[in-house]
Amino acid sequence: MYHPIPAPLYRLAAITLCVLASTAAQAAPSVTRLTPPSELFSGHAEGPIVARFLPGQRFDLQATVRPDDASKTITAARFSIDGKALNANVAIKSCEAFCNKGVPANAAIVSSRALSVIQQGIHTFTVTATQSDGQTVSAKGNFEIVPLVVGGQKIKNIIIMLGDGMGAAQRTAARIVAGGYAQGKVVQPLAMDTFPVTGMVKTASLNSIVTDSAPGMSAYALGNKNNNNEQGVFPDDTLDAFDNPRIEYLSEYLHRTQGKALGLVTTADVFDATPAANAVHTSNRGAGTGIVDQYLDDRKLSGLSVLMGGGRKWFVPASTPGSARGDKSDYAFSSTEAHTTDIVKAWGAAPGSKDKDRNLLADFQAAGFAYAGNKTEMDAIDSGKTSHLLGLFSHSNMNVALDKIDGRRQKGQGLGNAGNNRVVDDYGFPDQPMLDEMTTTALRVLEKKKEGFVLMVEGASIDKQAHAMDTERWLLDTIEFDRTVKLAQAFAAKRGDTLVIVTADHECAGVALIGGSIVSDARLQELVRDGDPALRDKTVGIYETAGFPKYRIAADGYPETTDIDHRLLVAYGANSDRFEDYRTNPLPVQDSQQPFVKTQPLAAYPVDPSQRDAQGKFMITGQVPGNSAVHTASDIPLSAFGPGAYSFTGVMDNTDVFFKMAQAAVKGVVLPAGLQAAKQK
Amino acid sequence: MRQLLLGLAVWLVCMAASAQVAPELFFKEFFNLPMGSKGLEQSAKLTSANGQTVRITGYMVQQEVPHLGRFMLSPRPVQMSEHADGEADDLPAALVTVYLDDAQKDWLIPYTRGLLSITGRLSVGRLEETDGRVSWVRLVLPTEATRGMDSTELTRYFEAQQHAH
Repeated sequence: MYHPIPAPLYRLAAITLCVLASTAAQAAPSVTRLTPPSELFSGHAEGPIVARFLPGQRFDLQATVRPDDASKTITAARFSIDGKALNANVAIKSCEAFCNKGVPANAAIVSSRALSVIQQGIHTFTVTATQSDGQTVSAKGNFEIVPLVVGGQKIKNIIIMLGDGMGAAQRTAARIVAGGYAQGKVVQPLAMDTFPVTGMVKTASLNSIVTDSAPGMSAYALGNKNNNNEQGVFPDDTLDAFDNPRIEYLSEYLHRTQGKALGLVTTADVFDATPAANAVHTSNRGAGTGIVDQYLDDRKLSGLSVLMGGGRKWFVPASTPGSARGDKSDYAFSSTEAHTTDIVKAWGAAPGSKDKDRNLLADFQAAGFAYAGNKTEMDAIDSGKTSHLLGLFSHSNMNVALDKIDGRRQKGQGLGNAGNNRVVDDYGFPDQPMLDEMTTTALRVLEKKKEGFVLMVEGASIDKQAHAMDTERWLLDTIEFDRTVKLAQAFAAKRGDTLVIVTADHECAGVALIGGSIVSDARLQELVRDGDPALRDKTVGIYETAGFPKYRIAADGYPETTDIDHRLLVAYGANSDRFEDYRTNPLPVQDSQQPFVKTQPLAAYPVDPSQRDAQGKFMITGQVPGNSAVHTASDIPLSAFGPGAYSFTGVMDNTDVFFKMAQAAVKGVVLPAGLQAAKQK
Repeated sequence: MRQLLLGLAVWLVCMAASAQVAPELFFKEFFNLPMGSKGLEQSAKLTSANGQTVRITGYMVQQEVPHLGRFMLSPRPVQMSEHADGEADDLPAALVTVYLDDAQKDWLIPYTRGLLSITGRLSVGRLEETDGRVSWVRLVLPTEATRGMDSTELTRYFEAQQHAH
């Protein structure tokens, strides 16, 4: 007798078959990340080539491999380049709780550390992994070894002048204020204006059109794109901020192959991204304790000889008041797992340790570094006898040029509740050097290095004060920076063996020079005090009404005052909500409701934005969320001086800058192809 | 997590209802100035005030990413750009972390301009916060100052107790 299958049961059987079939078709381990990053892997396209290295420059290979089922594991993996299996050790680390959210616990991170390739050209590399049931998976990526050609003079020293956040508008503003214009002609050009070669730099990072300072600097320092907030490493899938696949820095490459020394001079906290992205490998630019430890512990890799800036809070033991050292911002590699012991073995790097009680200041001194804690101590350094120098002139970032200069001019702006009331007094560091003074000392120490040096000098608060939209503060920092450029230029001109490049890592705040004030400063103060609702229209002069703002420069090189009649006016295209009164802010960040507490009774302060508007303050609606202006994706200028300068013309990627510097230092200076004379027949 | 907005302007003047005024501690009195070339040295006045109720006047630090239930008080107006700069900040060494009462630890405190005069119990010593930042001086607001209030009542209360200069 015929018994048909009841309809519902029939359907269930069909669904079960389908599920089984699809599971069988999909069941295979997969490679979800392959490093170095490539379009061949991510986009299945031959180009553009993302990762590029110098012949012999070291880097890590890594892949994230996911089994097809929670019960399986990855048991073996190998890497090959151009089809040839590598001999290097492959570390396999099972994720467990060690990886980012969303990565299964049985996924594996497989790595081979500190490899290099000599042969120029595009290379294909492959990872092949085996799952516990014997299934294998392969994935392919590519990278390029950039050829170095035999050139002319080999440069001995490289000076990278890095104006953080310094776009074209910041440069122009500094020129207008410090140099002045007469009938359209510049009276006194900036030092960077006198460099013979200038190009434009594209600044995108590995994961955004808008970079931050970490990948912005590391692009110059290692020739590759890094993710935002990461420096010296490619991204990975682990939580550990110090275990990422590394790329060798220019400082490390030139120290290893030529014995060159590294100098880092900044007005920021020395752990900040720009200095650290020359010597420290981490995916967390905020991991201060680990970063400053790595400066010292891996100095044999980087050749670090001079380190100057702010940031003493990371160098004193946790028990010292004000210390910021903590285990959460530190690292310690496992001594048993190849995943990290290979970093120590293959790179020769320090294993790190969670040592918040470390006295790093004392350790630097024990390692032969002379130490200066203020300008007086720095000036007392006998550079003839000093081979290594540490200068830490403040707790975190140093005070900006405007506040340091006001301090030297004994101009008090502070709360005035006890004794001296200059801003530098309030911060507790009244004797901080200017950037040019620090750089002079650094060059005296570094010029004795027989094999030459790489020196990075950062004007850090051009960026930081542009974030705060504090016009006069970034302006004076740009002037301070150009004074430093001038002495680097003089150093290079005297020696003839030094390449100087002046550039930025990105633009900050979308600065636009919109014109000049059409009123005197006294009139502007009246308008502001009265809360005139037409403040903007009565102040902003555009086109010919802007004229040429004329600032008087004092003997110390900075404007006598920035509150002049008919002042330069600056707007911000990447701004957050803010108020504008066009005047110099008495304090590092303007508290726009009360220019100064002594002159306005606290009780009169408005308590919400509508009351602020009622006061007639000029509020500018932000085009970005948050409280700060942001970096922009605009190209930034780069100027070059000295042998090798000609290479830096045209529109270039930020990673190109690295290869141009390396060419000049390793094989000698060359002219770019388009500038070479035709071959004689 | 319950996040409440404490109104637009929070004048955090948490003095007891009685007219008794707590002794004032100035930021300049925290450390021996100028700072030496090694670490900082806490002043005797600061350490002896540990555990006492004091009044401190300063500016609320403007953060891109404020923390729940606490904020930083600085002798200078400071605007942080954590996203771009992380812990490379312009905070003066003399800094106070102000904690709301434990019952309000999930409250988001909006940035408030101007000088704030805060009275609370002083706590001096190293504390590693959940985000890894280390604080050395803290001011804990008294429970009774804000007990049972909703955010609007709290705002009105603070406004009514503005610090008169």
